[in-house]
Amino acid sequence: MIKIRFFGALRKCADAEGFFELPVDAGAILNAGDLKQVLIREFEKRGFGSELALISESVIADDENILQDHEPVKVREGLAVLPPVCGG
Amino acid sequence: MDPVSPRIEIHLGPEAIVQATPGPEVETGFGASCEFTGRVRAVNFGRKVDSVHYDAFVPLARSSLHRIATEALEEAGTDGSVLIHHRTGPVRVGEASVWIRVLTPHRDEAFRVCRSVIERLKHEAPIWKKEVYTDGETEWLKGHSLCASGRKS
Repeated sequence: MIKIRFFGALRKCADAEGFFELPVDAGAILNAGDLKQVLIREFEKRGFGSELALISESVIADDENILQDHEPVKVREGLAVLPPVCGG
Repeated sequence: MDPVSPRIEIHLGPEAIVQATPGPEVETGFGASCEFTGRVRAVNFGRKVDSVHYDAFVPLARSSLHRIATEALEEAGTDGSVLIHHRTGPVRVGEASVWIRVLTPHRDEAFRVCRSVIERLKHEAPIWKKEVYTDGETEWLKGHSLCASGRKS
């Protein structure tokens, strides 16, 4: 089990600090798109059906990079899920 | 004029934006200054807004904004200075949420770089806003997916 960070509209699905527990072993290596599929399954289990589309539109990122769906990612604390952005 | 290394300043935090005058060290060689200020509107899509709450993935947003500024200068083919200040947390109606100041040797590049920075900021920087309405309701605004950007930050 690891904690990943949610931002923006996804925060409503996270704890007060913006973290969401995901049933994946730390150190596992998945494509970013596969990690999103794990998230989608977890959202379905927890009844966050209305946010499923938001996950599809989101990207996985760490402090330095946005990872496209085909890119491998080592599962670890500190990963973030970024929904569509709207700064300014 | 001798080439001047790009000078880029990024401020991302809850502090109010102070639109300071450039110092003399920055003014040297830069005859053009172009600024953009974004403020919180009182009405958005017919709803009365009380404030906007900005959320940001700060480390990645900082590096994204630095890259955006660097690339905007490169694409305009100019030396220059870019300062970006974006608020986080609550921002009241009428207050500035973002301020961009571009200094370049000539006006055309200053306009182009400033426009490029604000447009790309809206599409690429990991920043989100939640509107808080006067009736107490809130809504995260729809935005631009980073899936299609094809860029690494």
